[in-house]
Amino acid sequence: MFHTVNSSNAMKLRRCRRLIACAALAIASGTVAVVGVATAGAKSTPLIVWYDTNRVPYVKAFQAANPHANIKWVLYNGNQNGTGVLQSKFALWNRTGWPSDAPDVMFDTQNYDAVQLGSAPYNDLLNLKNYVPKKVLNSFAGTSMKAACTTPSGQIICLRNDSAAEVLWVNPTLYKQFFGSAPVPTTWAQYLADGTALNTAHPGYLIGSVGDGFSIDDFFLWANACPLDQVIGKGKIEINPSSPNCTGIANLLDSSGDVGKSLSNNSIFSVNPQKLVMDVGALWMGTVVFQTGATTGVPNGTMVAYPAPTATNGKSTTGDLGGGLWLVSKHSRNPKAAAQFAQYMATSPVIQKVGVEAGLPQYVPDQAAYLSSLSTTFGDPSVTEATWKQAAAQVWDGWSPVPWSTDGVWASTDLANVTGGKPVAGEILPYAEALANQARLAGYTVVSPVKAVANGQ
Amino acid sequence: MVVSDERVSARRRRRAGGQRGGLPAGTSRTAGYGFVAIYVVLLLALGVAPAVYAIALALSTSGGVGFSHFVNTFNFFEFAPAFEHVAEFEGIWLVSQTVFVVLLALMVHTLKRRVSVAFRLIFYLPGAMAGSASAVIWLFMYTPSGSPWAFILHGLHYQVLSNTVQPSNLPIIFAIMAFFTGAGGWIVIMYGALNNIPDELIEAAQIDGSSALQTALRIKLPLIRKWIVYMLVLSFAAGSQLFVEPQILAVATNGQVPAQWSPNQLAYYLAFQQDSFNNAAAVSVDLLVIGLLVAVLLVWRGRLFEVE
Repeated sequence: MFHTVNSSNAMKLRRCRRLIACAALAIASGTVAVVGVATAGAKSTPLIVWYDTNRVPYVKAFQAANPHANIKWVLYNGNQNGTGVLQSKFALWNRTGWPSDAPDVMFDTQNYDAVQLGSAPYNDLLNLKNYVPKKVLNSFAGTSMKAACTTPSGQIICLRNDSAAEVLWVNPTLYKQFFGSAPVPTTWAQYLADGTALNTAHPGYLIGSVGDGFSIDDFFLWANACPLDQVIGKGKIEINPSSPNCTGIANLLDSSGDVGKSLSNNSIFSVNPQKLVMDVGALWMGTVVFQTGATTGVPNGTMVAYPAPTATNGKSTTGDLGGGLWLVSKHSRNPKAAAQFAQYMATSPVIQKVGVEAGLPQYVPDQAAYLSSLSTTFGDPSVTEATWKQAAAQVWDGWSPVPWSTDGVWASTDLANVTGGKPVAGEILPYAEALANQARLAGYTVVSPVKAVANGQ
Repeated sequence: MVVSDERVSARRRRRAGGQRGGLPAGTSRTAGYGFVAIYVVLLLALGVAPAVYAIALALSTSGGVGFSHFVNTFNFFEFAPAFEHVAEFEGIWLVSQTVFVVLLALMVHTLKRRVSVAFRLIFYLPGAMAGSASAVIWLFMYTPSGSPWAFILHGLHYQVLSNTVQPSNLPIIFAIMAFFTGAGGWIVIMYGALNNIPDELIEAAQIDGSSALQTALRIKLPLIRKWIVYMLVLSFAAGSQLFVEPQILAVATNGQVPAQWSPNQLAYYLAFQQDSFNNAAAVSVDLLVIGLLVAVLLVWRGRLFEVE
């Protein structure tokens, strides 16, 4: 349990002299804490926690379970893509000194942030290795902790909140209507061939979208283990656009003729879910984008998740988009309580079962209870649950968290070309070059077998 | 945007005083000094001090004083493109703004007073939405599915926002935004300048047989030349420091506009996304030097401070 003594009661406790009166007060207030955090709370400095709007259910669940915890909740934008709120605040505070209202714990929606904020020149995140038990750290799904929360030097600088692994979302009603009893595709070639069939037979129906900065790079390149973002040591990144894992999937996309047709040029957030036969997307998209979250969404209980298509190299890997992190500030005045709070938020079943929109807990012991709560949310719950669990552990860990947005680079370098009709295969090298430029801007050494990428020419 | 009203109005105050020659009755020199003193204090605190701080940051290296941050930033891959982007933007914007502002001001000035008031108001209206507000409105205008000008965008084969906001279009996209936010205000200022031309002068020209066109080109235009130079100096500085519009478009398009599109964005990115204040200061100082050089050139060639 997580309990702290709030300040007014703490004062009363300090003032009371008679033993019996003290005991009575303690029982009445019900706030005498059992574990370590209590002593910290008694100092009456609240933990300052920054959270985003999607985490409101977490906050409510926490408050209901721990009504007397001494916490100051501050709503911010979750460091949303491109805004860099934490980066700018931290940079300023590193120059001017950290104020007393700086956050102790932050929820961050950007998976690449932890590595940036936890390494030079920032170095502002607490190494949780010394605060969170090893057993807990080892209970996060697959390589998720390694992928976003571990620095090359081995520090643990965040805790994963939810998995945002990529799956193949299917609308079984539409699929049956167009493809009869054929099984759901399990390879990229089959998936894209279904799209090609729709292009001519049922134009307007979709197998996904390429209209966002994250579509091709996260859901196709990353999922296919294309090594364009692979950190291979401290400050060293390998970018290999000539890998068959990159060119293979790009050529498949081009030869299918699906881009701009059954793979919509529109953002996935603005396509009509009623027209979506399939989509490769993050597991949180099931509700938010296709069902209840969209005005034209299909009814709850429609969409079913299947594993993302097998990579062209024959391995079962998948991509990822989103999923949050719990960060603890190194400048916290109460690192022990802050770390304990972050651990509680990331692992407690009290928090991690709240709201399907939040996504599958990365903390494996919480997954079963969470998944069983999905039974009425999606069609074929046993398939969907098994897929989610499997996907959370199969995210390819060669797409490393880096202090720049790979989605942003695709958006500024390649998105307009692809939606404008240029072949995807022609975008791999420019994308790799732009990524290499961003890496050099951030002080990384770029290793690449392709000369233009290695030299920046 | 970037130009502080304080600075503009103070300059105008001094200019007005200078043109009239003497002091109006009932005022003393002390009041004048008082106003200038307030301006000087603000200028030192909010203009000069940050600039000095930036120069100090840019020049201080681990080994003492040096130019390594300038060399560093110069070698960044985004450095040259950022300046090219802004040069292209300024080329489109300054030329179109100068031509249209002068042309429209001259035309409005020939209209009857009541009509011209209506026109000036109409020209000025888009300027009411400056900076971030205009960026949001134009974002909507550039979206093929929502824009009232969708037929133009569809005519250009733009079906989705990512088609419109492609990299090669960005300079003209920002030039259009800047034109509509800035031009109206300058038309009003130019109109004011035209009103300062003595009626006798224009009447004399007309008596001598000057046509409306000749009066506009030979009499009015030379007399408002200084105002045009003034507009160019301020607009160039504001344009070279372009920041708000690309920054908002970058967020709204999830990064389709790069976070280092303009030099000012690059400086911001270096300071606040890379925690590298020295490099950021070096880019800012580059901008300051360019702005000053162009201003000096325009003031000197345009004989801005000469008193006739």
